[in-house]
Amino acid sequence: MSTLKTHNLQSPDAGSVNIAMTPNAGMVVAGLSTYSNQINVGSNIKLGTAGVVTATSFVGSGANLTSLPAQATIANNADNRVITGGSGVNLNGEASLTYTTGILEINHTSCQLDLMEDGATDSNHRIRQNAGNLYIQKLSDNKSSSTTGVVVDGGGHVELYYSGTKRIETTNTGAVVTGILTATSFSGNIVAGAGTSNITAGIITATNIELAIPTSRRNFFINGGMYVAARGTVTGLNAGGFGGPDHIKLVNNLGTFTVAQGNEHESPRSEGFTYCYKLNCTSASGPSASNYVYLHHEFSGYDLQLLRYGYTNPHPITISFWAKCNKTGNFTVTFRTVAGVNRLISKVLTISDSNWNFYSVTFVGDTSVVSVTAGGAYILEIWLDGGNNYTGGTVQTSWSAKDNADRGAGSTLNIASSTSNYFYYTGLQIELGTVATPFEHQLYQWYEHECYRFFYHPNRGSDLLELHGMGHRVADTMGAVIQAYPWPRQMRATPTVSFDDNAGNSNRFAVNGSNNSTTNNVLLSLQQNDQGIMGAFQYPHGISGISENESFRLWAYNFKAEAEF
Amino acid sequence: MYKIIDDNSIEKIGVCIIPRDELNKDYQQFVADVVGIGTTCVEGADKVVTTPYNIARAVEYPSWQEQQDMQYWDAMNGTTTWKDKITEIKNKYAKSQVGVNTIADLPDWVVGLST
Repeated sequence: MSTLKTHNLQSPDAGSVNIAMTPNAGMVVAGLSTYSNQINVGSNIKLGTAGVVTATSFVGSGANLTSLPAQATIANNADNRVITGGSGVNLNGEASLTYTTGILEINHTSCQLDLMEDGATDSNHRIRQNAGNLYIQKLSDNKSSSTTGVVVDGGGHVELYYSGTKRIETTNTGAVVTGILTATSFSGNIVAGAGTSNITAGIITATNIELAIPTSRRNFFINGGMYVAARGTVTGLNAGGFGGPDHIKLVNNLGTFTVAQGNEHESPRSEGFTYCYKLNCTSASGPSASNYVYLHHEFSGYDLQLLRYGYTNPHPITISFWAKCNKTGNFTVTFRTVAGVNRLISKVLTISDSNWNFYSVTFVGDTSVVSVTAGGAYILEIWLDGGNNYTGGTVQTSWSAKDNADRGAGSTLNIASSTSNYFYYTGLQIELGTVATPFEHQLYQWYEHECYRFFYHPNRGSDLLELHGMGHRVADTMGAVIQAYPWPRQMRATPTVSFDDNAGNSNRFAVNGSNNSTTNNVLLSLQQNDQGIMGAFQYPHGISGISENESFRLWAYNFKAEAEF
Repeated sequence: MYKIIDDNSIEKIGVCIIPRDELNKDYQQFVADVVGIGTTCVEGADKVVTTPYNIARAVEYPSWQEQQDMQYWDAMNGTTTWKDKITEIKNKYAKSQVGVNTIADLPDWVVGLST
């Protein structure tokens, strides 16, 4: 029997058909619960005896699947793969990574991370994390070379580069720009650092520059380049006095000194100075308690009122100069206020060799008001020697009430200790602010004009001042009148004058009248003020040998007019 | 030691002439000395008591023009007007008359410094 033809199969013990044969549509098996081998459904569905169902694909909801494994494993690991989520049930491999929300973390330890475009194209860029720094770099040479554009340093700063050259670096206080910074506008303050950290620039172009510190006329001291030395060399100074470069006074009661103007061979010409102030000891002595040797520079209350001492935000000043000394040791720079107040501040400087060296000192502004006056109000002292009364105190590095013992405290130079000792200096600049700027050289005639405010002498042989006069009668009394003579410029105050008649009589004139006859030892009332000799006269009794209407020449030898502080 | 020249000037004897200007450093020292030492460091101005004969005569001699005019008319008229005038002046101020100076009292502006 090759074919059994029947409609249904039923167990004799069953109450219904177990297998029903459906014409041309298969069969229906009722109550099937066990099967001794796998059941194959078509070619792809296999129902195994161990409860395993396999198929080439499943269709339909998997919501009721249970006991699924805790994680999926991608077994086929390899380099340079990107696995992304896809739609539906797919995990897609993609050419680019898209991540639009949340945090993408790529963690690594002790290795380098590069993000870059694949391929060999030059001028592509990469982001590199390496050794604690993050780089953005331009690639070239088939990615074998790179040029850094941005560095985020692990130490905290950020660097920006142009073609491999660093141009901007952030710092803990701001940023450092190397090169030219251009902007449509700037705001805020530009503050240069101290010492060598100055602002260096070629040309600054702006429609408006507003500066807190002046760029010209910065130097408060009028003869810091030591250009003008009207008094010439002065010897034998054992009780102080002026000499050498103008407007500097040696104050001493110890030793004997010569002061003079040094020439270009004696000055730091490589630094731009062809003159200097020379102080040479010519008679040595050790200090007793009350002795002193210092250089004195004085300023009027008018000239330094801009320091705002005693008012909100008083200005600091910086004092700088070049100095050369045969001795090593310390000397003291002291700045004093002396008008309506009596205070000081000091700093000790060290000479360590006999070369020309640059020194600078910055003093903060004081809180005590200084009088505004044409008289002396501020004094700069450079202490070179002194006894205990002037050096035995404390170096006052903040403003303090004046104590003479503090003025030269810290000075150990002992310039008066040997006749071989010298102290030269030049380039003295006292300026607003905390930075010692390059010395402000002015034209010689400017220095000369400024120095005439304090000292004048006729620039001719024997310093001869020659005036003209005439015998004069008032009623029955003879007199003499002399021409007015203006000083080259208005002086600080009515000057003290000194002269002689070339015959041994101090402060007396020689009068040369008719027939060239000369009368010596003539005293006149000079009538000088800060603008000049405003018409001297002799009245009553006139001048011996001078008749009414007789003209004469009035000679004053070695004439000097001095209005120093 | 100081000497008064006039109300504008003081001589530091043998050294310099100091103006009476409070901004002048030497005048400030003069004031300090008068206050500290006293007025004994200052001498008053010279005061002329007797004029020397030559200065006294010079004041009274007629001018050269006047004297020449006198001499002309003396020659024309046989008079001695010029000679008489000159003799009169010479006799009035004999050669023995020398200048005599005294020292004036210190002015109030100096005395006031020390009081």
